[in-house]
Amino acid sequence: MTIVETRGLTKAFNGRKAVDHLNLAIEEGELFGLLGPNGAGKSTTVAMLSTLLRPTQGTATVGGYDIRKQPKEVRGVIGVVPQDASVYDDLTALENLLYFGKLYGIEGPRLSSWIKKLLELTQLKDRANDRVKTFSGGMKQRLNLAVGLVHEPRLLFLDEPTTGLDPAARLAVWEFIKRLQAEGVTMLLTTHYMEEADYLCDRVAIMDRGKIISLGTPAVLKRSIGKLEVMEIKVAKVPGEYLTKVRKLRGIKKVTRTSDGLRLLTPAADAALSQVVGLASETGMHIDSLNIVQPTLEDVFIKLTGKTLRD
Amino acid sequence: MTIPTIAAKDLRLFFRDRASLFWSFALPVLLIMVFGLAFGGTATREIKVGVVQQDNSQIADNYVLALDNAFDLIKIDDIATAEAKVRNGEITSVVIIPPEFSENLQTGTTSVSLIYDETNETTARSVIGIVEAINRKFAGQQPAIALDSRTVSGREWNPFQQYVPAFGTMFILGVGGLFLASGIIIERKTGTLRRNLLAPVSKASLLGGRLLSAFIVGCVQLALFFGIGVLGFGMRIEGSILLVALIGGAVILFAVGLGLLVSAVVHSPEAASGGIWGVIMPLSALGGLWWPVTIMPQWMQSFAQVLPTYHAQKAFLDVIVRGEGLATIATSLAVLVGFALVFIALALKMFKWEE
Repeated sequence: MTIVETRGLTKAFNGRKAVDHLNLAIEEGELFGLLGPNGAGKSTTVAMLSTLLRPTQGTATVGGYDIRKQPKEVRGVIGVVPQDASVYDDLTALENLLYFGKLYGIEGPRLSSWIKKLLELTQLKDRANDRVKTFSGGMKQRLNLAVGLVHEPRLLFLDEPTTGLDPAARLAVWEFIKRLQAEGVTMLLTTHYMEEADYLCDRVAIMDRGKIISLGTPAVLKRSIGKLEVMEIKVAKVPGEYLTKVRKLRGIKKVTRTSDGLRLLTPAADAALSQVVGLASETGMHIDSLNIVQPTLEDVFIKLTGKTLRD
Repeated sequence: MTIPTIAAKDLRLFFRDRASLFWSFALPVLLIMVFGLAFGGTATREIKVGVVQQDNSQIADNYVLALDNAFDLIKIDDIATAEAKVRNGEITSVVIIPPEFSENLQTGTTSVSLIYDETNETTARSVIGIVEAINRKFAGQQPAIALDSRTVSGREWNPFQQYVPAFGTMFILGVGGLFLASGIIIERKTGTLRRNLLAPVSKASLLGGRLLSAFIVGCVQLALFFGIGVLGFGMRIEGSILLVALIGGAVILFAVGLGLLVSAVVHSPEAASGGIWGVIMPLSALGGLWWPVTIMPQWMQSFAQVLPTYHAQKAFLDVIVRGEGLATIATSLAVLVGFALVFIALALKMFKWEE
């Protein structure tokens, strides 16, 4: 059963289209990812689906309700986990959960038993009566997730749930999302971390400039760029001469600058390897490390747009 | 009903913030007490006046006795020491009785001199007036017209009747406004306002809850300030307590309007604090919360009459001191409520839910 369906969903800010005629369908029970760089239109899409922003054009149904005509009903169906932990610092974790639960009209034993379970799931049980301002970033984010779930929504929107978290905290959040997935909660996750989309999502839509440029399961997406391998070169400084020459090498499909070096797409890494390394000594480039890896969703994005996700 | 839920959350946040408790309750109570006690009026018997008696006759002794009945009199041996004591504020003034005092009195006119501290002019003027009166009596002159003075209410003035409503109004405006404005701004900044909007709750309920909590804080302030005035310092309320509550309610409503308006135009809690106090300080000074408007020049008095603070204080004094009824304060009430409604309407027009 389809729980979210958008039809020509468009949002323009001052004439610039942040989301451009988006058509997508999310099935009940799946974890659907929107992957793309900052400014691709992911958050704008979520804001429209959660009725905070009115579409300029087009519309969508969420849980069978029209986001334009039945915003209040839509809000009852969805839970939203905002990017920044939007919780009250001067309330305790428990008070935050009770408050938002009551705001959704849930009270009494049903609310308290569900909150108890949420606190266990998020591993915040021991800190339930501590004020949020004493929490670490990861704990705050887990509470943020719990608040999004306090009214047992049919659909959960996760907007960049791990941005700004350290690796350990990120792993804890991932684990929690996996557990929700196992319980059958439908989720729409936006992220600019390709590992996150790859690891968590059943299906991923890659977004750029307000449009979906590719959609499928992570495995299908990675295969879509053909039988390619990736050479990951770590290097402090890339001479201009190397860059122009390596682009002209036969057997190198695509060259992209990354934050710590280069990423080369090639059909046969072992064949191209000697040329790539030879060119480096020729142009005086000092390679710190070179790895041959399988393509990631990042490479799919690079292949499609010529940019990295962090651009 | 979500409004009580929202208001309860806001109140919980308010009562957990020590700084706001200080500003809302501790500081105004302290100011009311300091001003109320300081301006409680010193009886002239308590004014410290020095005397240098250079004439040791019986007549001069009697004169000193008369002074001693009027003031807290301190005898000093020489003029230089006396002057030094006036200068350092130990005494307010000194009366010098010259050696020829009694001799001259018997032959015709005599004189005493008085040196006073010009930095304490009000007290000095009282001293001069009293010394002159003593002089006339001592010279055997009885005033042809006796003066019998009394207060208009028939009771002694209690400065708390002035300072409880004055500082009460000022801090209800300040904190009511600040609590509401900065609360909304912080919620907007941290994203909790957005999260509230994501629940199936109307915007009217969200604002309603906020306004209700601010109104309740104002009521607690009002009850505390008047409670301390009445129970702690014997402040009398000549008129109806219900009318005092009604005026208080109008003041709180105005505070809420001011706070909402500031939250609509300002983007940081710091700016809200600056904005609120930047409005309240001049409003309090010009509106007669710090001193009676009657001491200001005529043009300022005319201007003061358009200020909500002026009407708040006027209505409070009408009821508390003069025991007036609803008819007298109706105009002032209308002005206060009018201001409140205009501010609230403007704020709702400009209000932004997201940054």
